Amino acid sequence: MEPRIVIHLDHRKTVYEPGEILSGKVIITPADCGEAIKAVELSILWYTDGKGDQDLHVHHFRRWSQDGDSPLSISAPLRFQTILPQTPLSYDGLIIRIRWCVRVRVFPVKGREIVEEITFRLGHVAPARVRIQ
Amino acid sequence: MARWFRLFEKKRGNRRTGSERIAGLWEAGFFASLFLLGCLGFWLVLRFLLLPEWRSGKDFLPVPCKVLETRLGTTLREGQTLYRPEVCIEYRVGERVYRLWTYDIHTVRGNGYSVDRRHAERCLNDYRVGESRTAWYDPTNPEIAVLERGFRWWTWLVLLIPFSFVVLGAGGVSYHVWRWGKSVERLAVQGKPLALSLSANPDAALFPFVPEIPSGIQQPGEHLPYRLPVLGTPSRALMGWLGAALFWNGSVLALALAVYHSGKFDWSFTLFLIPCLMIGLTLVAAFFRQWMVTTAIGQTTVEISDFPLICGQRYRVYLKQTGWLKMNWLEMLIVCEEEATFQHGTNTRRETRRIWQKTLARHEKFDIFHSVPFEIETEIEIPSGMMHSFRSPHNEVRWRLCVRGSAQDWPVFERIFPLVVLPEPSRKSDTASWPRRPVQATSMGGATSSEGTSHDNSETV
Repeated sequence: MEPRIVIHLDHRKTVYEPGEILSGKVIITPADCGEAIKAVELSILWYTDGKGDQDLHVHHFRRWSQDGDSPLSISAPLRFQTILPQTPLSYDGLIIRIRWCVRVRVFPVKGREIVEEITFRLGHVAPARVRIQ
Repeated sequence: MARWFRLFEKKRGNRRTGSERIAGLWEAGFFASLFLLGCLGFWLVLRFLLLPEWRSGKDFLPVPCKVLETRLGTTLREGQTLYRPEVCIEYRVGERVYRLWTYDIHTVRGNGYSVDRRHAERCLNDYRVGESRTAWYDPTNPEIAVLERGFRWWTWLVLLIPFSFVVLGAGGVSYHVWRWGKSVERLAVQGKPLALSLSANPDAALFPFVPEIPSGIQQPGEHLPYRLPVLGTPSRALMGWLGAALFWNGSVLALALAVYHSGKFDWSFTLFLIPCLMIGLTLVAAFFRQWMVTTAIGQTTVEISDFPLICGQRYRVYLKQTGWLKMNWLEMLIVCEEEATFQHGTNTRRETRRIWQKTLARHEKFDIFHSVPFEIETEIEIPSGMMHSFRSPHNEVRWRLCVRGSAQDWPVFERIFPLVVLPEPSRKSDTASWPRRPVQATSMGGATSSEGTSHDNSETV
């Protein structure tokens, strides 16, 4: 059975302030499929979307694996926490968009990796509209 | 019908419709082939060029010999005659007498030809028929003997060809092995941080991906604390046109002189020369036009009360325009633009969109004199909720002050002054801790003068 990933952000927030703490947990079900999973990666990142080629920057990265420094145990939720940076803020421009997300990749022992992500907004930048004054 | 095998894939920047894994395998295979090809080349160069030379210099034993005959060896390769020196010698090893045509180890192996006939003849001149010389023979095979030993310089250069294949192939394979099985996020963390490639920004830790104007070009202002640098100064354009005119006309002159001295100056070359001269004259004219524009329009100076700027706050801006002009109009704008860079096939393209613009000041029908520059001071407000300055390798949000003007008998000119805008603090108390550029003490001064109509944002003239 293919593992299922659920990402929970604490306080169920979708908008964060720069410098605020973002925390949450990752639950992988079923809990008894631990031996079928090689590694789990969690990234808090931003990426650009729009006309230009995509830029991506990982602000916080954590990897749990069977043979790494952080041993993998999915019987309990995998917790994460980071302080968000001041910039870049989430942005919906005309040809550029900046999106923040928490992305989790699960690498099974057999088969393709599974990806799940949850987006959130950093800051309160208004969507761009052409304004000529 | 769905295709089982996709012949074409759509590609736009980093986004592909094909399998990245299969593409990676193909790429790794390509680099592995380069590596193997390089190794094979290495072996061939070593086996057939370097090793024989090395052995003839190190292992061969000396033996007295007699020169019986000399000749210029020739061969025809790809329609070209090649030459090599050949000397017939007689020598004795043990009880057996050997006679062979030789010169160096390449001659013995059937090579050693070159296009340089004179060199081959000079080599032969060193040998007289009937004289006694020393030859070096191979102790494992006395039938091989040479008169000249040592390395040829070009054999080491030949090594560079397989070496470049090995380096490219090994680099490509190592890169793919390093990437194999890793997610883009893990690669981004293990690779070079994007921020490092942008600038050595002291505030980078506080404001990642906010570009900063290098502190070296910031100067204290005379009227307000900070003087903004101008992008693409007119003197650079002037030097550019001068360089282009000198290079083009110099090249055309050198070509014409070379053809004239060779005696091949005919009508066809004259026809070729006419458009070249036209281009040269156009470049000279462009240089003089730029020179007149630079000297007549004069310097534009913009100063600001604080730097960098913060969304939601107001600032004073001062503009000074020098020159000797009858202005039709002059305006100062603040603009915010998005610029996206993307791959389109093999080309890199840019698209820019202006998302916000405000005219800070506009003046019409007035004169500027050498002794009395045009000066205005006005106020700007960066609207709350606007996007801050942002730059990543392929995407940018930038703020600029633009000074545009039109003078009688001159083309419209535009000068750009980059700004850095920071996001507004989430808490008001944070504003005090927002970074400021250090600046020296300033002095207030400067007369203002203008005629004609004006409509400014807040305060002018």
